[in-house]
Amino acid sequence: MAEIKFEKAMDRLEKIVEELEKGELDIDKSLEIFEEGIKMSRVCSKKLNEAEQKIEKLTRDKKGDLVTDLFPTGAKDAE
Amino acid sequence: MSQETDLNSAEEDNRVFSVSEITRDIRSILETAFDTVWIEGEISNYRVVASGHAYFVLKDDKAQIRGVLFRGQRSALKFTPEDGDQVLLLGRVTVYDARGEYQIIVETMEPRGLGALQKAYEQLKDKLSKAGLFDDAHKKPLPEFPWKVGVVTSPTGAAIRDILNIIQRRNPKVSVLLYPVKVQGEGSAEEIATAIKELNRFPDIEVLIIGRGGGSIEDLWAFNEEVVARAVYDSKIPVISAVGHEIDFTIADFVADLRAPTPSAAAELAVPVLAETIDDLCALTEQLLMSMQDQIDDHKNQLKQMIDRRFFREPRQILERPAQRLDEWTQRLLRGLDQWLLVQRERLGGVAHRLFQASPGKVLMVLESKRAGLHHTLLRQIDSQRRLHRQRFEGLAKNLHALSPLSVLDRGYSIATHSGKAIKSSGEVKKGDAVQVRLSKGKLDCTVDDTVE
Repeated sequence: MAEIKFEKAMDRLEKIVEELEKGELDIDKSLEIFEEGIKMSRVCSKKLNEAEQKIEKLTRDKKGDLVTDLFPTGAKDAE
Repeated sequence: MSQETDLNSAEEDNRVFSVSEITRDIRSILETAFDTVWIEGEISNYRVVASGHAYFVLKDDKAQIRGVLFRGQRSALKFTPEDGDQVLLLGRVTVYDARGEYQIIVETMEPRGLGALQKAYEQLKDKLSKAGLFDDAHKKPLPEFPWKVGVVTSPTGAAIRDILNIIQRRNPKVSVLLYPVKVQGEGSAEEIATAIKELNRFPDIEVLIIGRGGGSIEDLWAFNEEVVARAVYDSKIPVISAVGHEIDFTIADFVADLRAPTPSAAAELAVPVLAETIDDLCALTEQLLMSMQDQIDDHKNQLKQMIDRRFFREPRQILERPAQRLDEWTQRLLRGLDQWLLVQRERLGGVAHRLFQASPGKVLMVLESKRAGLHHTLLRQIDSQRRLHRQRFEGLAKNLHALSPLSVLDRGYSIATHSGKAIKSSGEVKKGDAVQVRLSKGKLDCTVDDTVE
């Protein structure tokens, strides 16, 4: 999966903003990294929208392999 | 219980045992009467001999029993026993025939009671520290934004509840995978270690929380075991240890990449607040746009300023200076050209002059001039020669004149000529001949009238 990780995208976005704020780049380079910055922002936004919570529990089935079940979160004191 | 020896048998009443026999029987009875048993007591007289086996006495305030800890079992112990340690041991009752002593052969032993536990803790902490398990250099940083968290703890109990609540509250998008374990008691350490290893095989888990709620030092003991410490050290996923006590540190806490005082704190350390993350992202994006906008505005201003400058408003002015420069250079060029022409002309003049000097016309002129000169000289010479001659002549003439027979004429004589010849005698002429008489001044043309002898 060639998709960039959320964390790396946030880092990159931060760095790009710093670079632009320094104002030392020429306009071509500025436009280039600005575009990249927007792209990073979109990636982060997308990840935030797509992420979904799953609470799971591992158990061993009859064969001894690990299986994930949904962890009963509704019941505060699960059995 | 077997009935090998029937002590009530009348036949046996008179049997005489040897020492060995009775000892062997006693041993049999004891070995069959007791399976492996757990015994609790205090260690004393503990000594390790050359072979590596250890001998000691286990006692309480009323009795004591001898114990043997063979080398193999001794090396498997998780602590080093010392006199005064309260221990719990598992062993077999038997008799050492040669000495007539009953004893316990130890299968395993563990520290019991605060003092002993504390010592075991110190020993292991020391050992693992020296082995580098606590080194900061080995500790991994936690991910800033994990989306999947692994948890090793009891499925019941407050710990998992707290962790889930807090994670859900801070970031409801984070997934949790629980590996349920026993957190105290027999085998709990092994279960915890296994859980850590197994969770390491899930590639999308980004951080692990291991822990449990509060309890006594014995309750927490699993997290002081070496097997757990090593599993935490070997974990490729960063581990947060959260073992109930705020103030005490378990060995797992030292090995972990981060220690949290409670499971709740662990959840907070692991997962950032989503709302804040979203705010940060919005702020960064905002800054990005503003920065870019600033840059564009800057450039726009620069452009506007340039346009406002005179040159753009009156482009003619752009030409003024260059025009002036052009003029100046043109002047200099022309001057230069004139100068050059001058030089060339001079050269030409010089050459022409020389050419001229060498030309036939000139040569002729020169010759002509020479000739004229010579001619002039000649004339002069001739003239002067003539004058000289004249002078001579006149001189001579004068002399001649002085000597001239004609001077006689001046004295009155005359010369009569006939046919050009001077007549000396009258016989030379006859009557009627033309005779010329030359006087001193003038001549007479005469005719002979008569001749007289």
